Amino acid sequence: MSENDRFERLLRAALPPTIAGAPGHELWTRVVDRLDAPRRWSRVDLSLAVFVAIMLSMFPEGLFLLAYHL
Amino acid sequence: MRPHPYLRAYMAGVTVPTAVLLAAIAIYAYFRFYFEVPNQFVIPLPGPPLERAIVFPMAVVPNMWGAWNMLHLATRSRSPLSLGMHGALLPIILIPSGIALARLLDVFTIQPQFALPMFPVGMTVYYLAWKYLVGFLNEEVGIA
Repeated sequence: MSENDRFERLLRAALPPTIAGAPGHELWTRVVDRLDAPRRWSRVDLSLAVFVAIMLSMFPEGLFLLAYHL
Repeated sequence: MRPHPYLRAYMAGVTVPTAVLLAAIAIYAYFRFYFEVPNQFVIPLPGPPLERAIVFPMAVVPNMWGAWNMLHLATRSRSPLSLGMHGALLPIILIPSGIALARLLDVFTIQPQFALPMFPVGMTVYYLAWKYLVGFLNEEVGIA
């Protein structure tokens, strides 16, 4: 038995196998799915959009001022 | 890593106001040249030619957006502001300078009591535009 084989056997004996702790499903696909998912509007952003719509309906002249600065 | 991140940040920032201006000009041209509505009824201007009115939205605003996006790229490691919040600060510079230039070029004058309520509206629109539109473009050009 070579020195490397003995070292490998010792290592295997010392370290528990990692198979038991492996996740039951593929994690990377979930990461990719999350990265590729379209950005959703939060409730705060939706309420901000509603605020803009209300303000512009109250002050329609402001639309020109807004368009001038966009 | 792709080079020239600031050039890409500038281009991503310039895109949104340029597209908005294109839409605004298309609407203007539709009414002005198709329906032949006089100039001051399409855009409520006191009658000056369009070239005076368009200096600010065509020359200043897109370049400010590009420079502002470059500034965000340069400072984001040290700044606690998100991209949306960073963009929401831009009207604080743009609205007073736009009103001042409009007054200087005799495009329009606006009363402060009318302009002030438009500050939160402008900042909100900018927040959403920067968060969703400029954020999307930044992701596309690889600087998000």
